[in-house]
Amino acid sequence: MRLFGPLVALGMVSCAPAVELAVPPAAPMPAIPTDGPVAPDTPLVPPLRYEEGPPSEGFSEDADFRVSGPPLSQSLLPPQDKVHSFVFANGLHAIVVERRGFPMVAARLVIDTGSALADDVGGRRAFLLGATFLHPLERVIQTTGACSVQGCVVTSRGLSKQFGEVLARIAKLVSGVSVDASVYERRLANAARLYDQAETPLVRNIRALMFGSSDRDGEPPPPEVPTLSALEDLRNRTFVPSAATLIVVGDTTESAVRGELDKTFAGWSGPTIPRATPTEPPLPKGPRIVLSRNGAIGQLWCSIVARGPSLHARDFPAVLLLTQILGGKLDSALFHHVRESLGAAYSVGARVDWYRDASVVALTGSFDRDNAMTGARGLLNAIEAAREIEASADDLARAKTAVVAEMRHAASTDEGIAARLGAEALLGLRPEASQARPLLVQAVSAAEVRAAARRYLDPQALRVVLVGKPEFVAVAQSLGLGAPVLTDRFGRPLPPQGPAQASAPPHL
Amino acid sequence: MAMRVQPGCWRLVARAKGFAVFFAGVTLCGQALADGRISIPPVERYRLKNGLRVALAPDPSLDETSVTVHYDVGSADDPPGKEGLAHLVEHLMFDGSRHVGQGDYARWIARAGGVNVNGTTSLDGTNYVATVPATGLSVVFWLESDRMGFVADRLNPQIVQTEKGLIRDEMRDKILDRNLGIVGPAGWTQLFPQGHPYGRNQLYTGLADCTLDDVRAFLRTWYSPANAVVSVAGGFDVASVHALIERYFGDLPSVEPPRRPDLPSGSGVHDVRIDAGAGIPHDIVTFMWTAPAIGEPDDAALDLAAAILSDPEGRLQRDLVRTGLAVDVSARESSWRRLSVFWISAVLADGAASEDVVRAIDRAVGDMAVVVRQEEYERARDEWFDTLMLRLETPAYRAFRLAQPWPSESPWDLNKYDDFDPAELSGAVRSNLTPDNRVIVVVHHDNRYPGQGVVLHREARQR
Repeated sequence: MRLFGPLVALGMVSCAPAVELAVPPAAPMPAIPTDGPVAPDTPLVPPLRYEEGPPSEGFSEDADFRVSGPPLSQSLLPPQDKVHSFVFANGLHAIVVERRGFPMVAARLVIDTGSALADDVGGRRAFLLGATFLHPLERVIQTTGACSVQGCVVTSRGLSKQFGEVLARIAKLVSGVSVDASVYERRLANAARLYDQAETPLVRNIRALMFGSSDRDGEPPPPEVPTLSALEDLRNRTFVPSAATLIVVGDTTESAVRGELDKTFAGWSGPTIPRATPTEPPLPKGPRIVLSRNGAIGQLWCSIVARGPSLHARDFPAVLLLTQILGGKLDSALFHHVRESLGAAYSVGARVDWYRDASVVALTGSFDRDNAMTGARGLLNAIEAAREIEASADDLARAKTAVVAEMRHAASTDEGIAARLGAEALLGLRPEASQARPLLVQAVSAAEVRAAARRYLDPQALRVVLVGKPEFVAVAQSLGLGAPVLTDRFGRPLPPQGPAQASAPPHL
Repeated sequence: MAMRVQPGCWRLVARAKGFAVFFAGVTLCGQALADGRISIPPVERYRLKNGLRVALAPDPSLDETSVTVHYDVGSADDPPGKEGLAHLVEHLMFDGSRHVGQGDYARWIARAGGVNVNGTTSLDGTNYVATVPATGLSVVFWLESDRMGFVADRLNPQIVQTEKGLIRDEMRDKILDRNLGIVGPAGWTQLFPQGHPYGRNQLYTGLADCTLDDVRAFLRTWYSPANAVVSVAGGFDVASVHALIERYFGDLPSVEPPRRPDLPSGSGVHDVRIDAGAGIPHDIVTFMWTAPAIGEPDDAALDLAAAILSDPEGRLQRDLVRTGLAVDVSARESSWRRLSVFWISAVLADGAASEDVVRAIDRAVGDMAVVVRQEEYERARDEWFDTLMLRLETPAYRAFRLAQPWPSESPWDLNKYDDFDPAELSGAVRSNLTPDNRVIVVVHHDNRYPGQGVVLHREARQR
């Protein structure tokens, strides 16, 4: 195997000034009670064999087949399952993928909430909408529902002979069947309490930095929890068949789906709502680096983020490969440089998340105190290397194989196929788009990957989100992106001398 | 060829023609439920001459193929003072071997189209997993056999030092910086009988003292074909895989693993309560009980009991969440080969008193010890079956499951939770979830200890 090109360069490239900082020493491992009933010198386990055993006879550890690895095969494309697509009488769009190997069916209904949640900064109303109305009405196995600013998703699955029941579970949740109002009140109250912890501060700060902490008119989110009646009004306006796509994957047929739709969804109706028009919002004029104060974690969570293209863009396959080369798998630049060479982080990697009209490319690591500066710089260095040095043929081939393998893997289960088609339906993409994607990935050149890096990972476009204790401000300052703005877990700026979190232990 | 029928299995007592060179014996285990819910092709199990156990689950309906290599050694086998050694060895298995350079393992797997590549260390065992197209199996077998036989050849003190640092990071990442993760270590050491290898804390306090010599000795002692299982599941050609496994693993030298000492029995605790503080957003109350090992009487019944208690519309939700005492509550049984642990955990609502939550959990468990309703059992049973179906759709779960030395009547245990009488469930709760068999951990929100895990405040034996 050839050496990984960008990896070699990583040690030579830096976009951050070298600043000596006084970082406190790493905290010792915490004190956990060890004085329990187990005596440490009790012979709990067999002793290890420290002595070398006798050599094996008639065995060659260097046989030819051991010295050189087996030949590699061509990368395999995902299987092309037959896809049926039609519109039901009430306007519900249906996609059916027939797979007959395993006697299960996965169903997923996605609702494009259009512009109804476009002003839902932070996604709280969406979260409450899903948690209140898409929670299964009774204990229903493998049925889940949730909403985000992208839209709502309800999933169910079961044995193929239970297909009617699988669809009925979904229909029951979205078609306005009510339970006692007190149940919805209870769910809303509980969901309002859970919202704070529903996403990590890293995710919320990234979204705030990439899309703003106010809506597109500059308005901050309303502070009060919406009432149940306001949420019911939102549900009635958005849970309508013309805005929904039902995906059914598994051991069934198109005609069976049509028959069950007649039984389960025929009574569902509602007005047509306009689809949101994808328009890429401008990058907010926020800070380039934030430190979200969080005293509860010992590590520094660090993400270098940048806005990427939408899934509709021509260069999105190149961004997929760029992300893979940077930090997609165990063979990536970040894994080898930041984790294995520097030993700076156990968790490190890169990913791209797609939203309706843009994507976010993120390189992320969790660093111990004494590795935080090295690790954060390692992330920046990896980006710089990707911009400056074209990936080697071997790196690119491996990345292509890996990206296509992930697509193949995602297409290996009913649930995986339904999830992909559902996510893409919310983005306005047709099933053919994902079927064509592996070929588009395989056609990307190293120059196109580098061009994507130069376009989307421009130093001026990069933003840094740190989550950790205030003392990590020194690390933030060392990255050369200016003084960090302190934020709360939602990405809202804190006053410069804001009060620390409650310091008095309330119970002891 | 003589055959006799076992429950769900065809055992070929004589050697199969054509495979006699390879196999000491072959077992084919099919699974087709009486009610016809699902049928999965038979599983083949055999041993190589060096003792390596092989399990094959071919299924032409699956597009991918997964491999699990299981070593029958886990963190419970860490020598005293070397806690963390099994996990350290797992990390080092990815750092190259005699014929695979450092970093090349991942490159080979990537070029073979591998996904879900990972290693995991539990109390009982260590697993290495990968999923590839069938065309990539030879690469996986080559890599796995090279590290099974020769991983020690490429080790050095620097690599060991780096991986020790990464494991400390991993502990912070997965345990110390996670709300519920920190609860376990606080009560763990109190839970098991004296001398039980599960009873040491799981934060690897001996890691710093693990040396390269310890790593080599651990490999020599435990990482041998005779102490390993290779399982393959998915869409592959069986004859080709027979030949590949023989080629890559068949002549690896092997030594018998040592016998483990008998373990102390009984409970390690008598109603212990631990109060601790941590920089967490909400207080957490956790009950832990020791429970019968996997496959022992009451183990399956307690699985179902946990599912009933976790029901989103069930007892704990009714008594804790709906009453405003907690924002989240869950129950589960973690089953291991030598003992299990039953957990109930509640994340308290703002302003709720931990004493009220402790009483509510006590009451819910007490009620369940009296009666379990038929419909509660049926929902729990159906949930287990449905979850199993979700997993069995993937070759990764099939391979992983086949590699585990769990006692089971059939390869997939499709019927494991059928035909229970609800009274058996309440009986299992009554027998096992008793006050004299538990630890209660109350971790208070306490910002004096941000990011430092759990800090013990007081400990009391309640009787």
